[in-house]
Amino acid sequence: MNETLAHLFEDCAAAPGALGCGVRLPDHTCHVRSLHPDWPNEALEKTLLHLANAASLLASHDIAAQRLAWTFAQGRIFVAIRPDGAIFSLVTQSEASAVEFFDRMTFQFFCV
Amino acid sequence: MSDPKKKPQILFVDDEPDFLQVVIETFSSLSNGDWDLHQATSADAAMELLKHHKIDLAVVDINMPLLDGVQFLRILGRRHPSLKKVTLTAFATEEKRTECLANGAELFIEKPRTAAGFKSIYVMLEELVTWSPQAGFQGMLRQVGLNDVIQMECLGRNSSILEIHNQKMSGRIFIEEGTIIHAILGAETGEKAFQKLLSITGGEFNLLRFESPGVRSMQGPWEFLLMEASRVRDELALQPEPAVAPAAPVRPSVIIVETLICTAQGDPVFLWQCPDAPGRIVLLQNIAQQTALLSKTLPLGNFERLEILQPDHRTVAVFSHDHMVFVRSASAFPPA
Repeated sequence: MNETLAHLFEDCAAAPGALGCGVRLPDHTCHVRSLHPDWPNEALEKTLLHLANAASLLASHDIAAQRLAWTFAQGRIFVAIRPDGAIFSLVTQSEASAVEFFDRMTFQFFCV
Repeated sequence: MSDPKKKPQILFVDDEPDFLQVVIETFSSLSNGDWDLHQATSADAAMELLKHHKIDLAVVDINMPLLDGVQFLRILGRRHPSLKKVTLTAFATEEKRTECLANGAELFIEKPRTAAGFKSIYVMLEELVTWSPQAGFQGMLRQVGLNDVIQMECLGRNSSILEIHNQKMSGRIFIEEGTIIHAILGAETGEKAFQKLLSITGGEFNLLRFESPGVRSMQGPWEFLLMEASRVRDELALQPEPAVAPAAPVRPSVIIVETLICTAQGDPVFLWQCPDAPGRIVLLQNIAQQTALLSKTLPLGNFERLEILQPDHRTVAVFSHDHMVFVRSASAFPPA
């Protein structure tokens, strides 16, 4: 993982209610960081794969998403998709108000 | 400015502290201390500062490192719709200028290098910060309007009060944790008040800190409330013009372009302007399948909804145990 990504992940750790974060690059390599003991890195990597598949699914329906937010009863998954296909995701607890934080992190991600 | 005693609050965002120092000293002198000047050396610092100060005008350097100035403009527009924005750059290009203006900047100017240049910019900024629109929604700018603000507050599960008024009427919409719970317009409350407020042409709105109204006059998904309000507004627009000339009309900033409600099994229940209903139902079912995989991977509980943002569209897919809902909206002012 390069220094910029490491810096991005360090910043993500400060997100309200952060549970984990990850980046899937256009070459399909994944970098993840678990921020909760119950959330292993393997699960986050699988999550990134499902999110990438979801982005492809939406694109196949002519919906080229830039951002996605999946809301569950106990958590939210924020996703930013770069034009080159790279995906950045942040998972938070549902009660956490992390939208603004994710916006700022997306700035960084688009500059990586 | 509406309050002559209030000093304009102006924020300069630039990663060069030396330049900021020169700017602050120069504009403080040129304004004879009539401007309250704030400074930030990064987008993060600027966002933090905006949380605590009611800034009237932000002057933003678009060439800061690790920052896409255009993205920053968009975020400023979404988070602070009434904020006027000016971009400042040492490397002006026509392409960048077009992009900045299309994304909400009022002015695109080059960094001054001479005293005369600073004076010229001071005059422009003074003109901009003291100008107040006489018609239309103040703070609407190019892409953010009343519907847009309501959508953002609901999607973000925020709590706030939208105060809306024009020369004839004044009302409030209460949003609690992303749910529209109450609207009041004169003696009317509930959906009728909500629909009338969203049909106002010409006027202003302000986003206020949430306080409980002590009563709940509305219920149901905000998507439907907005959709119904749009329908009522369209109907009102078809009625004959009143004898008294109305204020300048304001086009809705967001238009719901497509709505579909179906059962969990995929049987359509309600369609509105949905040209490819079978395709949308397949999409909803595929999203549900993809979400089931996500749920197996991460212990997040029941899936509730997916929000999808595109440059010119916003889509919300809502899932309950027996129904699926698909609502797609578009900006009435697409980026140039």
